[in-house]
Amino acid sequence: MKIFLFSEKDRSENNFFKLFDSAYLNDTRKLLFAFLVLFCLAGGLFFSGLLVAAVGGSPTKVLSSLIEGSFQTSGAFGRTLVEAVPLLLVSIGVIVSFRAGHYNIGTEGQVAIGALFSAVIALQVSGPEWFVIVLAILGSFLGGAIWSGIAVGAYLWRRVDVMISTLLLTFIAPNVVLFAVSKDYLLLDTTKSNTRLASQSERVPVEKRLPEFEVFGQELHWGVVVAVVLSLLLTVLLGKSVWGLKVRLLGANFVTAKRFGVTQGKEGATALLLSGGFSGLAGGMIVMGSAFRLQSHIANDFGWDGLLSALVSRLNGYFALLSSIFFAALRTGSSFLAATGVSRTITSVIQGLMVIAALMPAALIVVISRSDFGRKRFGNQKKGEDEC
Amino acid sequence: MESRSSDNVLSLSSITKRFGDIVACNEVDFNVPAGTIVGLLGQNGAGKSTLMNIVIGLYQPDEGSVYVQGTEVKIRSPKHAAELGVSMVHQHFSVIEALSVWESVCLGDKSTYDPDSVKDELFVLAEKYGLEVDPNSRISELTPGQRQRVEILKCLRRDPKVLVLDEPTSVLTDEESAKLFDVVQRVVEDEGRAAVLISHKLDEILYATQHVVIMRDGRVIERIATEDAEAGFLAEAMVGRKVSLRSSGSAFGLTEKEDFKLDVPDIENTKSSSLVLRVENSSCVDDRGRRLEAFNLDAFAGEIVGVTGAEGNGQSLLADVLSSLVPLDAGSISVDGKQISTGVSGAMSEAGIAVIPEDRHHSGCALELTVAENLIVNRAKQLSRWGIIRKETRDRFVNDLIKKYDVKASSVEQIFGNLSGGNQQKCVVARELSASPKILVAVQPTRGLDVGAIEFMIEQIKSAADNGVAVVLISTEIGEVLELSDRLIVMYRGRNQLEMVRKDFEVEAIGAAMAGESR
Repeated sequence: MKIFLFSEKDRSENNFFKLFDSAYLNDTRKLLFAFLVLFCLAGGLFFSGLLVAAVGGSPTKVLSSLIEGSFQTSGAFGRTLVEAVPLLLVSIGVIVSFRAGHYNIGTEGQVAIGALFSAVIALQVSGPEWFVIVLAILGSFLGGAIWSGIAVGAYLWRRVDVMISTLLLTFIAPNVVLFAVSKDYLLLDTTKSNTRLASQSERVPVEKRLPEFEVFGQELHWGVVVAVVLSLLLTVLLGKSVWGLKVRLLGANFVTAKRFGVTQGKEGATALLLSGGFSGLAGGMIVMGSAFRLQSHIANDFGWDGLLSALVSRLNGYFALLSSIFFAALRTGSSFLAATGVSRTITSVIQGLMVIAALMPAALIVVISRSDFGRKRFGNQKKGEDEC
Repeated sequence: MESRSSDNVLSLSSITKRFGDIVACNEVDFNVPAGTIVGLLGQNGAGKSTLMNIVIGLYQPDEGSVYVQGTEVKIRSPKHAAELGVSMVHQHFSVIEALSVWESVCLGDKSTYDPDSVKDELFVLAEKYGLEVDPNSRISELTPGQRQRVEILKCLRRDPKVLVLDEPTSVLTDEESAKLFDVVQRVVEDEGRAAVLISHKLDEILYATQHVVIMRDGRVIERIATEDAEAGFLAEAMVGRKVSLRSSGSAFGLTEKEDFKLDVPDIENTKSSSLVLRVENSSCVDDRGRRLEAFNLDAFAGEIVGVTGAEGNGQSLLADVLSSLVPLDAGSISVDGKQISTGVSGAMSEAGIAVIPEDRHHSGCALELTVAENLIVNRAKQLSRWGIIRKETRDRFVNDLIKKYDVKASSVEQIFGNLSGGNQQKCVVARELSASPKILVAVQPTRGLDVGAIEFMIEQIKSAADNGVAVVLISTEIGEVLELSDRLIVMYRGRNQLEMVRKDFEVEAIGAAMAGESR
């Protein structure tokens, strides 16, 4: 197998991920895009239905159980929102790094390391409960940032491609966590309840978990508020602040950026560290808000799904709020699917189909606007310059 | 009317091509006799590329006819042109880096092919013309010179009658260029073949061709045998007597030399007043083979220093150094007597050096950001409070600039890449000048612009100088440099080949210096 690495130039001018940039859409394309989203989601549902029917299930029953599981049954919506928290945090981080032109795709590993940091603090630091909780959350941010910091360091030192290094670090992270939870002098649960000495940590005591509250009968924890506030804050900063302009300038054209004093070393590194930190924060939220104990597979695809959610939102922080809920709903809803008698494997295929459906429009719009038909209708109204 | 006998492999007669109001080619006659290399010389916008695009079928002429080997033809497309035996080696390589040499050569073939026979074929061609290149090596591993050989091999494999080379040496070293011309010479020695060399490098035209055709403003001005031509004469013909044609001053006609003198400001005076930019003994080489060698340049407040030379003699590297993109290996750059560290992000811009870059897409703008964002990237801090850009202040500032520089944008939030090229260029100029710089570096500022936009650009450069900015005008267009500069420097291989003040301007000497001859 051959792996083609992007050169510096390709990266800025001709990148696959640029397809997901909302700047690519002009006004006529926006309508087309909206249509494509609906069309593709419908297509995804249709093929999922075919698949379910093929294995002898009932498509309508599956669909309704998906919706029930993620929104309708009591407390389901709350569970979906709690599930959306890590997805949203990962997405926002991904958006910042992608905007800066650095493709941090190692979010899954950063989530795991963030979780590790928060578990260590929550289980081993004593002090007032609120203090431990805040410290564990901050620690998870630090953990994620350190994990992405390795990639930053390698890039600044030897220009190691960030896309590759972050990805490879993803394979190391769960092993680091596994090591921590399988040694009794570290985090291994040695209480009596863990008779078989499974590789996991003790449970975080109830008073050291993220406090919960109830709205409209849905149980949420404070991480929901933190995540929404943080992502709105970062989205506003990215769009309206001097820092945000610099970051986006760097991603859009790093040569121009260099002329105006924006560098990979400063703005680029900050964006990557932030991105890793936010993924780590997601890990902290998982440990402190829903899983309550550390296991080696703690990240449980939250990192990957968050990355996809960022792409589906076309790197737009506001849309990321929606797309992370969509991906969370797929996760909570599919746990309900099993009850319909459709096998678990089919469930993950359906999940995959829906992800593809959500990602298709971004690719389709390029194909369409490059075709002769699309050029006429949806092309940029750019005046052709004839050089003579 | 020119002879249309069959010993002309390619013959164009009274070709006219218009784009809107602009006549790109005006009744052009052009003949390429068998066994010769014909040089087509002219500045940017003279009509050479249009003419050749007609020859390879990209454009259809509005009037006139094209003859290939004595028969009149209508060339419908590049593919059709290739079938007729007209092949072009493009200025920008069209080979794909990930492919191997033999693969890129067959790319576009309709029929199925057999790798071994292609390789054999390449071997025979390479042997015959001295184009040695390993058919199995990957394009990405080749030097620019070798990539060009692949392009030429690709053309030769289709057995062309006419080979059109569009500024083939722009990325080659001198040695590679010389080798290339030897190859082309061998190709045309074959029966019934010929080549056209498009260039604005005088020395290579003199070296490689048998005939020269000089175009200016869409017309053929001169056609002579190369052995009767010399650099100074060619430069003058290329620029023309109407040196000030760009600034609406066609009325100056023949008296342009006196005109120069009228315009000369008191240079001695300004000199004593304030030296703003000093580039001293600067040397560097970059990975694309561009070099500066002990280059010196002083610029004084209120004057325009022209830096000219044939393309690829270090001008673009100089511009990159002044844009803080490339560090110097030796020498120094100082602004107002203070030394500026080179290659440090943002240093030059902070020191007051504004740049209108040669390729604005490369270093002048960010296509995906909005018009407003592009206009404020150099002053975002001033328009912000607590790190947040204040929208009203920003919009007021941006709208003022848009109005002042007459940018046609649907709104300040329009995506920059959706503006037309001329409007993009205006935005770049607006941003750079709005920072009230001490120095303005303008690199090929009028390239690719239409007549109106050129006029605007010239105005801006002049008024910047009038306002006390030291302007460094880096351009390969001698006409532009002659018209605007108070002083000029000819660069040759990264060195100062010639320096002249306006009252001594002499086209012949400049042409000779561009070709590397020292006085």
